Amino acid sequence: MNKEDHTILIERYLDGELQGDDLINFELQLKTDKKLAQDCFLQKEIRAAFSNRDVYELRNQISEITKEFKQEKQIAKRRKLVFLYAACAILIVAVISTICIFNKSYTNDELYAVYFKPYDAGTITRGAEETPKDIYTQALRAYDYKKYYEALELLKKIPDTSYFLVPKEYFTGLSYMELHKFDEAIRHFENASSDKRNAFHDDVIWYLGLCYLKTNQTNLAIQQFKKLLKNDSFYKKSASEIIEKMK
Amino acid sequence: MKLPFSDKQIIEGIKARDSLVLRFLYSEYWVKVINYVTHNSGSVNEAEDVFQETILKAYTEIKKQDFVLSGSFNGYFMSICKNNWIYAVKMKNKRIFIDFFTEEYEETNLLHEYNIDQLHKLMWSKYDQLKVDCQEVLDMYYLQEKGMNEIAYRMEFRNNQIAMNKKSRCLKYLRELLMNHPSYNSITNE
Repeated sequence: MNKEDHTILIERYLDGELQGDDLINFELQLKTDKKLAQDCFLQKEIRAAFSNRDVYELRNQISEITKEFKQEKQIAKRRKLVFLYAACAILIVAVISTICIFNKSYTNDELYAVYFKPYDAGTITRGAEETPKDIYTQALRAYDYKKYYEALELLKKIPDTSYFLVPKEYFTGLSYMELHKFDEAIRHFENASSDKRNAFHDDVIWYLGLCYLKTNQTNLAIQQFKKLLKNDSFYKKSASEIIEKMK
Repeated sequence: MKLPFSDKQIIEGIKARDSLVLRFLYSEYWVKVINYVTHNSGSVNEAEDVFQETILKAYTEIKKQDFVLSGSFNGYFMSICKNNWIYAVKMKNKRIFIDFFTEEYEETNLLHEYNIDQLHKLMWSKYDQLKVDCQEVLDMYYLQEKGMNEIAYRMEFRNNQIAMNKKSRCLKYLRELLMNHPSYNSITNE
């Protein structure tokens, strides 16, 4: 009996086609032939599996649903992650915005308003006897009393050849600043800035920088403030701060 | 929270292989089964197998005419799931878990049924590897219960003997595929 016959014989047995002695012999053989018994069991179960075709179909259906379900779960997970990232991004933007608001780049006008403080010419407390040159003294007094036009008129009377040229230009610039005539102020501060040995030099540079700032000549303003970083100027700290805020 | 299906609707849905009900089983039990198996030293992949086998087992039980749901469906489903995992563990000789399952484990012929189910599952996976003509012949004979004459006619064989030989060869080949599978011995040697 070859193997194919063996398969056919099992099939005949399972189909109920074996009868009489054939059936008795086959059943006897099943008890003694382990291989035959094993093949018979398997062919019987193959039939059983075919008879449960609906289970097979359900298995396929479940496999499909499993795939879809896992995909949906992944998508949901991704959505969750996207939502999380979006929330994080919003939070980061909010934090950065907050930092920017509190460390914002100031407008030139804002910086000017913060840093410009009227210069005290000292005429009110010093007394007239400490300023020998009358015109200059009167001009400074007018300036201190916020009579800027009067101060300008008096300062104009001081000749350019005078020893008081730099102070004249300086206070003229300050007066124009008070009158919000920044271009005029710049012109006079620039005249005053040429004399680096003058006692007012750092003051001139500071106010010139502020005027440039106010007139939105930012680079020129920074150049002036940087000059104040190089030495032990009274304005060194303010210059450093204002440069930092202008970045 | 109210469930979208009553126990009766779930039973009827499984019986009818209703996709909505099957999907509901996923939404309701997937995480529970994964948690149960993974908390009992199983892997996620094993848990997924257990989940699918649980649905199949529930289906074969429910379609029996004498099936009666004695408790809640939730309890029923999870008990099948637990049994399936116990059998899977036993199959893999994971002795360390047997103690853990002592209270739940009931030695019955359910293990034999589980192994038969596994064998059928393996059979279908091997059936898919057969050539189409083999699948057709076996389908016609076992599923559609066609005689050899009709099979010979439909497959354009010269006579029914050729059809019979073809069926035998296909069956033998399928049997060999099954017997040569690594898990065959562990399934059949209970």
